[in-house]
Amino acid sequence: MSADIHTLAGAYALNAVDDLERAAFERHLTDCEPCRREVAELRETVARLADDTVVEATPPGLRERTLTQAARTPQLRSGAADDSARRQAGRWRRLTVAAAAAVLVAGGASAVTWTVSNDRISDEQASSAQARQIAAVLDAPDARVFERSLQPGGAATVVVSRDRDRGVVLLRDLPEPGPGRIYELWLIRGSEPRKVGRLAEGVRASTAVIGPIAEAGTFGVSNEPVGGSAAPTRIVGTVELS
Amino acid sequence: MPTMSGDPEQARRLRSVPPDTANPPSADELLSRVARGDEAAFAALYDAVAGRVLGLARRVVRDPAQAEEVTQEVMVEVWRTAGRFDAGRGSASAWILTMAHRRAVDRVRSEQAHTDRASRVAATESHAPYDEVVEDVTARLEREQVRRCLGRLTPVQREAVALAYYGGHTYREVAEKLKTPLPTVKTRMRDGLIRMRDCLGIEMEGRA
Repeated sequence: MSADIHTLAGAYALNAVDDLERAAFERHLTDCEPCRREVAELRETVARLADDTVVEATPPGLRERTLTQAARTPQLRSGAADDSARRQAGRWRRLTVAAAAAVLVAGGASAVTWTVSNDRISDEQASSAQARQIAAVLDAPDARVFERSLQPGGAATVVVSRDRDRGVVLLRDLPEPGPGRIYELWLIRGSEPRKVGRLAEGVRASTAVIGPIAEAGTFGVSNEPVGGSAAPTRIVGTVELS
Repeated sequence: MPTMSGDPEQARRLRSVPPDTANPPSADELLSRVARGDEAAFAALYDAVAGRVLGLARRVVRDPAQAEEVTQEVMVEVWRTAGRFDAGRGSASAWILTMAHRRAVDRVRSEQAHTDRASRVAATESHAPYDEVVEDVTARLEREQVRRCLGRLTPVQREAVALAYYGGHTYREVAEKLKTPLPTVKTRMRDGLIRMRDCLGIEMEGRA
């Protein structure tokens, strides 16, 4: 798989891929140091192609409009530029967004079609309320990412912002829950579970916003009968949120 | 260009030098000042890169008014997200031009939903004409270097790269257009860019 996906490096650097391929390729990059280097070099190469298009005289009105609009536009909080741990977190967030996009696209989630790039979650494209909520969590300066494989298969990624008191959960590749059964999502504080969501029947991958997080220290997924349960009866996986 | 041959290092050092300035800050330095809210640095960064952003946008979206919109959007986005730039992952100008290309292509692809692109000029045309104004010498050398390196690709590699980059097509569209299998097109793009990279002497030592 990885050798095959790697042949996309050129098309990826040229931005000649669709969103799903981009997300898949970016996930591939996380596991492949030489690929990151190659892609970075190809990106620099591709950027040079713009040298062949230079417009010598840019309209003065454009400069003025741009500077004026920038002056009115608040900047995203940068975080400490030298703090590599934070940079790492930033990278993780971007990757996680890519994974979320892959899930959304793969799930064919109705009207939710957001384009996710390396560098931005475009506001105008975050067209659904859910996408906006997701973006708010992923963008939070204190967002942290927790990831776990689940017992019966599949994996959960939880991004938590204590400041925003919300989290984003990505579930993927869960096994069939069985006939008449569904998955439910929980936040657990000490030994007290609180239900924060459920997947519809037959759904085995999802991106969900959960909250409030409050003092919860653990996220859990359980397998329940279709009507749902008051408390989890068959926990299939937990993710520690610290 | 005889002066350029075999010294890509020099080309890179010369790169972001605007005219009439002895020792101007690089785009990378400007961007890090922009990240701290420095409006003067943003104006200088605009002056350093807007010509390429607008040129690229025009080449991809064709429509001059839309190209200006793209340029404005991109530059404001640069201002907004400057703090996210990670110098470990590449140069400031590549970051900005990647963003510009993405925006321009987004426009083309959404426009594609309603309009047939038959009317659009083929992306494989040789080179867009540019204004005959007095050019900054380094900019001209860079352009010539890019052209020379593009000239070293095989015709099919060049075609695939140009259709994707200047034409805004996905590699699937390129494959369809050229009636060529997908894996072949992917390979042409990657091999073509690798050849281009080596010709330009781009190396990410200590960066990637």
